Amino acid sequence: MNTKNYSLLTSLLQYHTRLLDQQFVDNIISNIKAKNKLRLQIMIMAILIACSVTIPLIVNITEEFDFLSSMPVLSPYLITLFLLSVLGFGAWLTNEDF
Amino acid sequence: MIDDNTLIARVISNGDQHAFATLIKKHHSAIRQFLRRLTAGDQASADDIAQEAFIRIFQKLDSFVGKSTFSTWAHKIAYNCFLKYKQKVYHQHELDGFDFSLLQAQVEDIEKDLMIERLMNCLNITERTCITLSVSAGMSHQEICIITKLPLGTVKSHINRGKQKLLDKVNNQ
Repeated sequence: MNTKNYSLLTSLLQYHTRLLDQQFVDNIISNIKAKNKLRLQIMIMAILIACSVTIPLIVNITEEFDFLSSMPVLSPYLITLFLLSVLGFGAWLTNEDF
Repeated sequence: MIDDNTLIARVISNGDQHAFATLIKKHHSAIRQFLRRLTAGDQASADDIAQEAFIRIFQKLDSFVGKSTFSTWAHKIAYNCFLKYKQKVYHQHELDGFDFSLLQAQVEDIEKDLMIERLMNCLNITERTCITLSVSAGMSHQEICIITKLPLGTVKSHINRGKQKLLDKVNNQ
């Protein structure tokens, strides 16, 4: 390999300029803020849905006060609640964008 | 200047966006230059990929365990984002109308970078990556292995083959 050409190539391949625009940094920060806001909104919505399902359930439990005997009645709620929370948590974990 | 590990700790513990902005300021130039070389001068796409990479870096920052430097880790994420982009839309361009005589001429630094980005079209993606990380970013072969997940011998041969191809191009024109 010709040494002169080799050193010319090496010097050509260096980064000659440094990119300094602040706009690029600001765009990323505002993108991150937007994603965090969306994440918060989804969390609030999920909490509201979970509350709307569980609050009637809590009322039932305190009225009857006998949790075990009311299990057959409550089981559809419990299964739905369990499935929703597991699926929601799974989706949360697997979604790379979060 | 505050070191990377302190900034990372601030981002992880307090979600400090100012610390993350400082981290981006320190590293965005190298990452964007790297991606501009990989996209062979498609600067708009390179900047889009870089933006995506930095958002991913923010999301995954708590998984950074310091086995390599932050720069190596960030380059690895940027490279993965580039591979993802390439699967969707990337087209290899021909090096038509390239004025090789300009390579030896006295031109502005910014023009030199543009020329080299275009010249990368004569290399395949892996050669571009290895050459850029080795010669332009000054990384060790070991660091390139971490970023590309290639064995050491393969990295070395990609670098040598890439350099030879570039030299042949420059000499034969």
